[in-house]
Parts: sequence; C-alpha cells; structure tokens
Amino acid sequence: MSEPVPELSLPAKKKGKKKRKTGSAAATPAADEADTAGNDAMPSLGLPSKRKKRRKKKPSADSEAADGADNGADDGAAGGDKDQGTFVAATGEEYEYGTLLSRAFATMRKLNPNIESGNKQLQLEAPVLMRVGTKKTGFVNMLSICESINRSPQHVLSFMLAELGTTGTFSGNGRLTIKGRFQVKHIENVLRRYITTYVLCFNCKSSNTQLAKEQRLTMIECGSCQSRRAVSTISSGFQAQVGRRRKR
Amino acid sequence: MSLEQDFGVTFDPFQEAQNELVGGDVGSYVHIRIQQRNGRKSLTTVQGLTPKLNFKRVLKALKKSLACNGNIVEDEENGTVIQLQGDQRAHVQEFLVNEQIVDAQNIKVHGF
Ligand SMILES: [Zn+2]
Repeated sequence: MSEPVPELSLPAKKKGKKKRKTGSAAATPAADEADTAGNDAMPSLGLPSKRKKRRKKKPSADSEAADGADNGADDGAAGGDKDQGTFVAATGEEYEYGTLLSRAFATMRKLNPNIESGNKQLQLEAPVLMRVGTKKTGFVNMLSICESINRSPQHVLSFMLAELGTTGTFSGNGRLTIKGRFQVKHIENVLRRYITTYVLCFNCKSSNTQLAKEQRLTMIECGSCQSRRAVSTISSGFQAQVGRRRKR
Repeated sequence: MSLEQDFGVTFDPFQEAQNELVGGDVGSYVHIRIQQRNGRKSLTTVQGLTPKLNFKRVLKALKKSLACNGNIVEDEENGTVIQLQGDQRAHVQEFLVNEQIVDAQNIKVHGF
C-alpha cells in the first residue's frame, strides 16, 4: 500500500476516534458530504458507512473531484493534514498528526493481518424491480439478496410488507410480488432499514450475525464480538382500510 | 436508585432496550406509516399517541397546518389512530416534535 491510502481510508473506519482527535471540523463535513452524495447518486445498494469508506479510498481521482466540488471534502481528504497539530517527541523531533496516524494503522495492519477481513462491510446488489400489471411490483432478486445478508426470505418479506403497508407473496420462480407501485429507491430504503435493525451488530456493526428465537424474543447474535441483543418483533401495526370495503 | 447516587448516572443506559423489549415495540413509540392507495394517492397513519391526548384538537390542528383531511380511527389493538390524506410523514413528524407532543426519539417513521 502506498503512503496516503491508509490516511484517506481512515475517517470512515474509525470515525469516532478520528473525530475526537481532530476536533471534528475537518471530518464531519466531509463525511456528511460523502453520505448525501452517495444517497443521491449511487444506484447500487450499499450501507452508508461503506460508501464513505469507498469514496475516500480512491485518493487520486476522487479527492481531485472533491477539490472542485466543495471545500469540506477537500479539508477532510487531502489538505487537512497540514493544519493539524504536530506532536513534539521527547527527543525534539516533530511528527505531523497524519504521519503518525498512518504509521499507527500501518503497524496495526502488519501485526493483525486479519483485522481487515473482520471489518469487511456488507455490499449488496441493487434490487431489481419490474412492474407486474399496473398495480403490482415484482422484486426479482429478493432471494439472492436474502442469501447475501443471511436471513430467511420470510423474515425479510414480513418486514418489507409491514414497512410498506401492503401485501405480497412469492410467486413461482423465486420472485416476490408486492402490491402497489414501488421504485428501486423505496425498496432500497426498506432493505437498508432492515439491515440496520436486523443484520448489523449493534456493537461492532459487523454483518456476521444470526437471529435466534428465545422464548418470545428474537435475539440478534454477533459472530464477531459475541454480543447478543433483543430486536423488536415485526409488527405491521394499524392497517387502514384502503380500496373497496368488504361486505359483511 | 442507589445506582444513580453511587455513580451519578444521569441517564438510563438501558432505556432504549426496554422500550423495544416489551413484547415488540408497541409500548412507547409513535409509529408514522404510509399506505399506498390507488394511483399516486396515499394515506398516512399515526399510531401510538398517548390516550390522554385530546385527539380531536390535535387532528384539527394537523388538518389545518397540513392542509389535508383526516380522521380518527379507534382500533382494538392499536388504540386511537390518526389518519391523514396524502404522504404527510415528514410533516406529521415535524408537527409532533414542534408541538412537543412526542419526543423526536420516540417517533418511528415507516415506509419507503
Ligand atoms: Zn458484534
């Protein structure tokens, strides 16, 4: 790895730490910027934090683009290091914050080669939708998405239907048919919410988790940090009467 | 109680967990949902408001400020629910917070 790469990938990965150290002025606007930009532009479904990380990781092309676009990102990505304080060692040598930080991370990576793989973020394929007739939406790659987040399609389905306030079924060929018209971004939003509540570990944000039923509660168990936490059950709540009223 | 005295705990770290633990999360959250109707029309429902509220007054104020119609539905399971015409999720949330009816953190907005 070349020198600047670890620096640039830092803010997303150890966001909390970095913010505390730099006094957040440089880090926050950049992060926000990346987030909003990602939301608008990215067609593929990834988690927000993943986006930040990826954006920062391409130092040459991306930071230049950011230079032109806005000053906030510029500060965070490239120019910020010079403004940050220097540390004067007992020997009298001066170290810049950025240099020290990248050195710390380089050492950390060298000593723990598997730390990267443990931090791997979830990246999902974009949902593929198609219109079924005029009033229904077909969700084509639902099963493969469920597989990649390691959750049962039934669970994901019940969450989606509760969130969207509609009904739907699996039609043959592993396709999901939802009543109502929905766009990719709608489904993406719902999936993202599903992932934050039922897939990601609350402590370490790892996606290496399992759902387990315990008495009446559903617990989410993390495979990386062994934490357990109860998650709320899916309930669709109040359903208003839409469409034609049934005769009694 | 003694915990608070001993450690000066000013907040309950398990607050969130308790909220969600009680048989799902029907207890303390206010849920704002959307349902699609025909065409581009939709319906917003507000569920979980405290029964102490004067629903008629709230609805009246909501209708006026959002410029939409709405009504109150008594549901056996979900208590009193406010229904509003159109996608008013963001507006309702803002309204409830601004009028200090519900804490922002106790509102859950559903839908796409
Ligand atoms: Zn974990």
